[in-house]
Amino acid sequence: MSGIRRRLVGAAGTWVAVLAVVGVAVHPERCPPVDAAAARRAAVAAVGWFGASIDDSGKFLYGYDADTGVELGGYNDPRHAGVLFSLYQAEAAGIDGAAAIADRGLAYVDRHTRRAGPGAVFGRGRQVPTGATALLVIALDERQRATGDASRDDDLRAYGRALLATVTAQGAVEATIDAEAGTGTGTRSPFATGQVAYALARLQQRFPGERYGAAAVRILSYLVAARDDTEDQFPMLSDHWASYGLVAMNRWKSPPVLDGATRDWIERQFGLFGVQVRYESQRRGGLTVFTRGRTAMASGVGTVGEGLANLARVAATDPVLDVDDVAVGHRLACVAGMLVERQTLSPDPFPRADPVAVTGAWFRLGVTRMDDQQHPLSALILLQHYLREP
Amino acid sequence: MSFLVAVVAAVVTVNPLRVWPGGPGRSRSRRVLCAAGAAVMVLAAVMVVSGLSALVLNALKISVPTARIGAGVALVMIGGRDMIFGPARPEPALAGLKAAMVPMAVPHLFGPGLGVLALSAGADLGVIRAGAAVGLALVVAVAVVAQPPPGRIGARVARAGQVLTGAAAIVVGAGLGADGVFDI
Repeated sequence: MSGIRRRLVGAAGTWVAVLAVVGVAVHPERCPPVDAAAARRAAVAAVGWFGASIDDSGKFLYGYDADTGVELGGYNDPRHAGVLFSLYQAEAAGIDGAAAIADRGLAYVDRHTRRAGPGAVFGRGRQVPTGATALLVIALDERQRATGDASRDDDLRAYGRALLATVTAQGAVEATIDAEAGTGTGTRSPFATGQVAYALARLQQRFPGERYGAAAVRILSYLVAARDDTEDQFPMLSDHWASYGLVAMNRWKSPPVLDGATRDWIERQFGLFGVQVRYESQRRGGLTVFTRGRTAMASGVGTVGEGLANLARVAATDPVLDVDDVAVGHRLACVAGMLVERQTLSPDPFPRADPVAVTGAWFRLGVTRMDDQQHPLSALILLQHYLREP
Repeated sequence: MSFLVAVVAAVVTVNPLRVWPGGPGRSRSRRVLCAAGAAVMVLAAVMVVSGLSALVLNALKISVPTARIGAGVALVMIGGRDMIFGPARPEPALAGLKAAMVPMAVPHLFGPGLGVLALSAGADLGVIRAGAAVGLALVVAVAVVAQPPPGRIGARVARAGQVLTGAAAIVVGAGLGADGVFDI
């Protein structure tokens, strides 16, 4: 081999080595095509799953192993409230019957609501997760929006008072409430902060003359400026509940003006949600299992869709935000496409499973949990507005 | 990726101090002609790659931020190579001015780092600005290669500069990668 040829072969080797490593870092992103009608059909199927999986006590099927046909144990009150929220969202979006299913779930809520200090809390045990009450507030307010029924307004106020007691002067949120004293217990959790911010933002919109707004703004300031450092959140949390809160604050009669720090935070949140969409869309089975892992739980993918869709709504009202609308549109459609494609619409893949526990659900490794339907349902309802009509 | 970042990324990817000892011969005119000829060829290739970036990335289903991550990874690898391995060698080379093609254009100037960077910069900045960024880096490279081959001390200085530039490539590559990760 001549020296020149050897040199060129060596150069080619460098190209191959670099491109091979780049190929491991950079995978094709597979975003299944989807339109608004397909997203809506998937949402309807998810509502159908909830309708089939709720029992007479108002509890939903919590977890299910479709490979073995075995119902998994446990129950989670924040997720129960979250499911109610997604169902009322569906009703508000025009999916008839969703609210009726959620109303059946209120039986469980009523059994586990207690007076606590100045207000009321939802949850079991002495220490109840703040998120359960916050998500219930969100759900009940969405219920009023969807059905026009204001019969639970006094409950909303009672829950709201309990939530106000969880907000510290700094704007942090107590993750659990002592159900007897009605006070926080000094704990923190990743999502309670955004959940309470959203709940209080909705209460401010609903009852503008009452004092929820200041606490919501205080939490938002804490979220933006201090939460990740103070609560040792690393990497930075992608907070879909906070994104809902921003949308709710935008609906106030006098929405808070976004300052530079908040805009920076929103832009970073866009990035966090965006990279999750891109990463998830690179998971295509085969060898990508080794480089990207298996597909995420549908609940996780759904939260990404919720977060992105909400931030897109915020960005649409704030021309100062530096966001690539085209890229956002691609990511929104990509999440919707993945969710629609991954939904199980036939019991055929799971011969040992109860068909009604399978149809309309999302499974990962044969297992589903009720929030695997909750978050995709919420996401699809929000995302359909960004998809083309068929 | 801003234009300035693209210029810096292109300079550290080309690493003119690594290329300097690899210039053909001792004749200044031959070195200038070969380096300039190589720069024109490389720039043309970069413009083609940048111009096709949207087409290529669409075909490969790779988003613009993800391509930036790829460019960052390539820069980190090239930077590592430049820190570990010695400078470019002038021989073997094609005879006369054909040395502009081998070894000046390939492999000295146009390597995988510049190729992937051209793809990403083309998608981020468009073909004109991507070409301008790489063009500036090539001008620097031509100016350096036009100098006589380094002597003993010059070679040590070039080697130190090559290593520092390689380290800079790693830093720039990591920054590009992080930018790609946290972009929408």
